[in-house]
Amino acid sequence: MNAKMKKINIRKYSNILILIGMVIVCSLVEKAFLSPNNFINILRQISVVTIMAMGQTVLIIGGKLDLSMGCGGAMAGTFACIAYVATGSMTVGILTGIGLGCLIGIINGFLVTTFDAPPFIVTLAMQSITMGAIFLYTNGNNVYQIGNFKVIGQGNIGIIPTPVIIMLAISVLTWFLLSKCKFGRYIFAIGGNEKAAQASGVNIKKTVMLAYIYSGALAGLAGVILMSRLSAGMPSSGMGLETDAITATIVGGTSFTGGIGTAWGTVIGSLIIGVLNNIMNLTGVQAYLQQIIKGVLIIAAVCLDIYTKEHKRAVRDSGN
Amino acid sequence: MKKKMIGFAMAATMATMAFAPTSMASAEESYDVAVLIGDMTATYASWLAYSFEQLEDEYPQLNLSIIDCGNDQATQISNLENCVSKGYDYVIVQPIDVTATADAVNSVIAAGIPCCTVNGSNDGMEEASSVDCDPVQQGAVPAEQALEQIPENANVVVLLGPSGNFHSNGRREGWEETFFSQREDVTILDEQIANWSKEEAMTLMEDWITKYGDDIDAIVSMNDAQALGCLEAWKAAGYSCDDILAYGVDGLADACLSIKDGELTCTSVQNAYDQASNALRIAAGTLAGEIENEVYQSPGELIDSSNVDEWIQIHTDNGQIQ
Repeated sequence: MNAKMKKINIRKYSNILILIGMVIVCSLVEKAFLSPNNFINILRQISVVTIMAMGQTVLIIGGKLDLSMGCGGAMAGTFACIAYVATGSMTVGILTGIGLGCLIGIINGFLVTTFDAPPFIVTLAMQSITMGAIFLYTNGNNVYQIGNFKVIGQGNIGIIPTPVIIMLAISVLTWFLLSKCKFGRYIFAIGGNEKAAQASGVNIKKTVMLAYIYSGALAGLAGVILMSRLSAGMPSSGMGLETDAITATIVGGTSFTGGIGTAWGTVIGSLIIGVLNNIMNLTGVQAYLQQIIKGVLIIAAVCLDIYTKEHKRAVRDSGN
Repeated sequence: MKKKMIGFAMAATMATMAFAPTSMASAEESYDVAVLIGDMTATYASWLAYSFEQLEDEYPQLNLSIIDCGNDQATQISNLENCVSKGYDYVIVQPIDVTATADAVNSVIAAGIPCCTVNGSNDGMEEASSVDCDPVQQGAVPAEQALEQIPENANVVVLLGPSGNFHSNGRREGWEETFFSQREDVTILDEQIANWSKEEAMTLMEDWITKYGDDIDAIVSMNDAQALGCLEAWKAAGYSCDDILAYGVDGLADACLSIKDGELTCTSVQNAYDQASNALRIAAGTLAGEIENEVYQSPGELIDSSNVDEWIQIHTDNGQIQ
């Protein structure tokens, strides 16, 4: 147990070092980068993806995956707008979004646990179903004039934007679930070795089901924030967010094969990508070049992270 | 033996399916027309599909089947192949990618079924009719307004669609010809791709505001969603929309509502109803033997505060505004 804790710490530090290095370089390159407003911007820009990434982190640690998050979140968020416009109640709107997210999670979880179906295919199919469902309902149109629904995505509490506060709250909650609860220990056990976890009495079905419900709820919440930020229910706007969320999770040091990862690592991963996008926009890097740089830096961050981990482990082992 | 029988049954079913529309058509002297929509989840395409449905009653001799290609080029090509095997009399297609669709359309024409492209040119399939809008002209419509509205020595930001996109490049060319080449006093602070996305444009604008603040005088976007995303970021930063000009292209519901609210300055619309209406006119004319083929350019029309109410009514009628 002690050895495992040590390993996680080392991983966490290597990501923070990458981020600190980036921040130093960025502030030397562009003076506008260091302004408090810019940091608030970056945090606001990463909030939707980070909330989704928290769900992915839990699932990927457990050796699972959810590709339906982007489209599912967009569906839930758009229905939340519709519910808000119909009732005028913010609570009804938000609950509709989160509730629909949970429902998608329950279906994903049911299919994965009951039929032992591969999460990749089940959630890919769910991506298609959720997208179809919302377009069928709205006839391919967007939902406009959502009035005060905007405040969730565009409002501020003090000087901090509401989505940033929600993101931080979800990050703390995810950290708590993963490190302080039985649920978290079970998830790590399942991701590390599912058969061994089963043998030692972990209720796999229940744990995986709960993980999918959690990720579904977060997808719904992120969808609500996204639509509110856009001031419209735009069903097509969620496409591809699931891959951004997976990227943030992996850059943040979660192992794609399961069993390793932290909530804070994912926040760092998301920040690395957010800072990168921000500095490229601030310095006016040419549009096509941005795509290449982004890809190269993601690969570099992941490789450096893995290398540091292996290197430190080798040093530690030789020391023993 | 069992396998053979299943095979025979399948072949028989397929043959029946293949001949069904043709035999019905000849009996009632009506024509089966396939309408292949590129991507029904896109707002413009759904307006196009809706317009075809609305117009069907005006042509009692045409039986329309509206088919979605799911924004997938391979699906569109196989749908075109299926149109031949199912024996449609006429095919209207909204090409996902004109070059990639051309060969499949040519095979349909070679099989004796006339075709018409809609919302896309007939480059490489010149025997097909075509109903399209010239993107250069579409870009020129708001650019012409900007020529008089954008103040001297202004700073502008430019937002492009996906890299290499035909419409984005064409609209940018229209802006270049009509505006930027005439106004060398105007500075382009930055020009970036936002992939037609409101969210990506918001992120860009937030970063631009960090760097340039209220030095930005105008937003020049190749579509409306990006311009609207920039305006959201502008408002969120505490600035007033009275202090910035914003130009888009598309003229869909969201843009009209924004113009009505005094936010977006103007846009140009590619009228889906006009396109559907002319595609059906060409289809009916071709099937009646009156014309062989025709190329129709649907003009991009200006929407600004003077005529926005009219367009809000149109979008309310077509279901985009509830």
